[in-house]
Amino acid sequence: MNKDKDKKVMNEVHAPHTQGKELLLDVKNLSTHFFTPDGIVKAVDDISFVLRKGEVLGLVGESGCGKSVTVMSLLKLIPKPGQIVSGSVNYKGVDLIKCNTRTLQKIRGNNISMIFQDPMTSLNPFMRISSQIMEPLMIHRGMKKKQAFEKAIDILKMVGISDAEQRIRNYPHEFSGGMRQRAMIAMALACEPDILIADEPTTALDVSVQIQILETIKELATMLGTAVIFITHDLGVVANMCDRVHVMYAGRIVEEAPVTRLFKHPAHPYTQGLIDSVQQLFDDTQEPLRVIEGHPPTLVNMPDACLFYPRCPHAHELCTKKRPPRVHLHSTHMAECWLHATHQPDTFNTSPPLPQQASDHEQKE
Amino acid sequence: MKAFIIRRFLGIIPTLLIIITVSFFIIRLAPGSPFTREKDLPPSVRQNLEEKYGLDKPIGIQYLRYLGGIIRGDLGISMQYVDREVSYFIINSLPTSLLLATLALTLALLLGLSGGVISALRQNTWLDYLIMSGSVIGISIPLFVIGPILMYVFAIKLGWLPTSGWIGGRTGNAAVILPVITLSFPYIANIARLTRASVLEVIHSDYVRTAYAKGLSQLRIILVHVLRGAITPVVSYLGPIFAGVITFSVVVESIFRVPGLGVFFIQSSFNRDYTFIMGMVITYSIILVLMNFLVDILYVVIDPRTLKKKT
Amino acid sequence: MNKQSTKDDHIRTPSSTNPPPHAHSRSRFSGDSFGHSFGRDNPSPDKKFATKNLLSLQDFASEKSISLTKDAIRRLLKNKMAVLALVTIIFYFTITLLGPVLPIYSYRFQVLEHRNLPPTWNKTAGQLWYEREKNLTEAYAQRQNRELSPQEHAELKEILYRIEHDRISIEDETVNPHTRHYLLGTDQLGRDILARTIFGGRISIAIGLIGALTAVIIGILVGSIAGFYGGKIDYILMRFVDIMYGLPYMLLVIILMTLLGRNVINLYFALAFISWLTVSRVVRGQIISLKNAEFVEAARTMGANTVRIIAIHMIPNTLGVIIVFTTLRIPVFIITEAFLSFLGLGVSAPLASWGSLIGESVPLLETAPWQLFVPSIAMTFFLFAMNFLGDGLRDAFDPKTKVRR
Repeated sequence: MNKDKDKKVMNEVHAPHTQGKELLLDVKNLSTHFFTPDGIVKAVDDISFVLRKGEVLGLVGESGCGKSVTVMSLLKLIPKPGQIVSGSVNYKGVDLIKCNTRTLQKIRGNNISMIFQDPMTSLNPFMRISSQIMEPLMIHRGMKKKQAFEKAIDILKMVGISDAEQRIRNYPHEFSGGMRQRAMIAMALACEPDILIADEPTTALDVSVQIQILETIKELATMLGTAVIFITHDLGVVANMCDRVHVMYAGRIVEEAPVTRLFKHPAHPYTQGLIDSVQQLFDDTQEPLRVIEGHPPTLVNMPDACLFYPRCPHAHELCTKKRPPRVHLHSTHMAECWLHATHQPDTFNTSPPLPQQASDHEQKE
Repeated sequence: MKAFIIRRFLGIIPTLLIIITVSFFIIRLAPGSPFTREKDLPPSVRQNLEEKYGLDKPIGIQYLRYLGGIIRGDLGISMQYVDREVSYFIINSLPTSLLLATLALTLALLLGLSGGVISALRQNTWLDYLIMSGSVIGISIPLFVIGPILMYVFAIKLGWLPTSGWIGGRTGNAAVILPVITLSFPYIANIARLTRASVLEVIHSDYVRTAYAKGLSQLRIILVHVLRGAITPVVSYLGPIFAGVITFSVVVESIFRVPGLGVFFIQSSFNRDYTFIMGMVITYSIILVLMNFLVDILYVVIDPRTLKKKT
Repeated sequence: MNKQSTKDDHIRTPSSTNPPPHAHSRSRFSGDSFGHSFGRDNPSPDKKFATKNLLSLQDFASEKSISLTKDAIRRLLKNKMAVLALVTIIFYFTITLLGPVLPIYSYRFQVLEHRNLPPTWNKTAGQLWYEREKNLTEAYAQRQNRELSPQEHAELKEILYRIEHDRISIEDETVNPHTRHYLLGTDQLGRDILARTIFGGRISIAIGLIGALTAVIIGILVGSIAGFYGGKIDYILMRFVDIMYGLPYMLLVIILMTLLGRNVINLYFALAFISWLTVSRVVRGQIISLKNAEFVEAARTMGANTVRIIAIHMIPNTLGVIIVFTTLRIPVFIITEAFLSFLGLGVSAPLASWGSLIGESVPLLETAPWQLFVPSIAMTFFLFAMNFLGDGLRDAFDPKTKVRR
């Protein structure tokens, strides 16, 4: 791999990846802020990424790091006092941020649909499962009631609900958690969308059910050729599901890489910490569990610095003063960290020993 | 569902029995008889009276006889209007009271629900502030204040409406307007506030977010998804509202001299007309209990989850 | 930063210089969400921290409630409407408490000649009385198309004479009643409406305040016993509350009033008897949700006994709800009292309450509307203020609802 060539400082400019299939979604410099009485919360801060046809893109990070807000922003589902302050989301030539509500409504649930975290509350408790699945079919596909009903049964069967003809008449409360999430998936996939956004779809479910749901999503996505944006905080799930991964921290994407590369060569100290704490579970060591100390910062009135430095084992003075650049370690691998920047001030050399993989880069400088 | 309705209906009986028993014994065991006011009543006359009303029997017998009477629709003879059965008065004036209550409840629901929904959808606009300050006024001004004030302005000063009377009365059918508005006044405000809060809650709920994500239009989301969920707290509040409307109808009837049960209620409690008071309490209780029963059923129809919980 | 936040810092890891603000506000919301946020916001599996938390838990509940109350007061004072309401309420309390020593006329002294005099700025009662009699007599004569008869002249003259020379004794003092000056007019028995409204307010407010407090105390007792012990005790108590709820309670109050006799004490008992039900339900719900909170469990494992747990750990945590509830209960009580007095089933003459004053005014609405307006306005402003204060308190104790609404 030719790391040197691709490694350059990229400030504010996102380098579109040249390889791969047709571009479905191109998100550029997206920022969503919440205007609270305590100050402006930059829940999503200058995020850019792309999604290609048929791929599964993972969005990983701790709770509250802005994963959900990011995907909600894509469909402009941000509740007040949140506001998308800048950026564009390009879907097939339409900017979802700027387009009018009618266009957006035609895209939502039809071309881009979503599954939410909590299937207990995300289904309307007052409506039968049938009407909830039929709704998008009748609205986006112009189906008649009967036709939509039959299609809804088909989809329910597809997502693995046995006895679909009977169960479709049930209300959500008569479904188990796993079945409700299946119903959500059925609803989301009813119109065979190009993009499925799954916002921690298994977090609220039993572990035994989680795997089944993941399998279902993966199977159907492959079958329908749907691209998936998959949000999770579970690295195990990422390893199983995703093709590419974006690691988010405090409203920013701090690292992006193909999944195998990310697990082999995590570049950002945060990613390293995440992977460390998971991998240790499979080792036989007796040493105490390694964790990332501390908490994600409050996102109010953040300084122009690396937001991870209070918890970073390699933190240095520079990290507190200036926001790190986006460094491209490889055509598909980006990390936002001073450790990998070419133009480091001299003081940086006194920093604690760099991790194996990262120092590799340094030597080649 | 059927089982639920039957069980609920059977549940009414003990409630009514308790009400009847409690009020019967409170009244009978309280000091003073209805005839104590007539001083120096000759013992023989007094005995005759007590015999006539069955007051000479042991209280247990009196109670059983009374229960038996209620089952036959016989509420006993009034003590002040001698030789008149209590049920005669009730049958004659109850329809008026019920009509007043129903009209007021309908008006309150109509205005309250629409006001609350509009207020929630236009949250933090001048319209919202207007409706909500109006509702604070509605809650703070009791209806026995607003009633006379409405009467003073619209009947006495402006002369647009009659000060008293009822449908079919001398003063014409317009006499119905002021009592109904007065009686519904506090409940419009209450329902509006309740509706607003619950609409806001539902709007921010996960399933409405799902509806948006499905690409539904704003109108459809509000009509199909929001209103259904938002109406349930209002429905569960219907029972207390109806109880309030029934109770306060006594006041409104006395202000506007509506020929309903209220007037008799006040009179009989002044005169310690035991049989009459009992008849009133039983009548009102049956209405309230039946209303609560209907509300329960309505609630299950609207919110399918409750059936599972309650059965 | 207040106490609350330093506590939070101490629980959070020292490395986080800036704990998330939402964690602060969330722990302020209410007792039960506190329990959740505690587990949720502290994902650090570090053992050291876990033990630290447990140790600090003991005094956690009480400390939290103190700072919670402080916080609430601070938020309340920021709310202009609530402050205005508070000022109004203090004004009412002062005036009604000072009623007996204020320079106003007696609320029960009747001057029958002064029946139904309108409010006035500058005229004495004598002037108003004479004017009214003169106008009436002249109007009567005019309707018959004639001049005033000598007899009528004499009658008017006599009134003038009496205005000069009448003397009555009030509280061992001989005064001329016709020099009196009724700012807000008189009622149908010639009593000062200003005085009656103030003294009526005394009774209304007293019943509202004491009644609400009694109801809340009974409610807290029943609710916390039911909620804490659960099981059979809870079942029996709550079935009892259910049955009481099913009763048409206003009608029961009316029955009680007719039987016990119409006076203030009976009225108060009849009202307090039936209005603790809702409080008990609210407190029970709060206690149940707190029962499973971590800090209560911690207190229990440390061997605190039941009463102590309820009194020190649970009641303070329901305090916010109770304060708000009591405040909002007072106007309800006042309205209920007024409702009964309006119908003549509440306080009896010569005592007055706002309700009885309004009730008495209705038949005379056409000729003496001020008899309705004065007590109505007095009462409405007070109810307004109470409701605003209650709303303000609720927002202050539960900032979440404020954002929501």
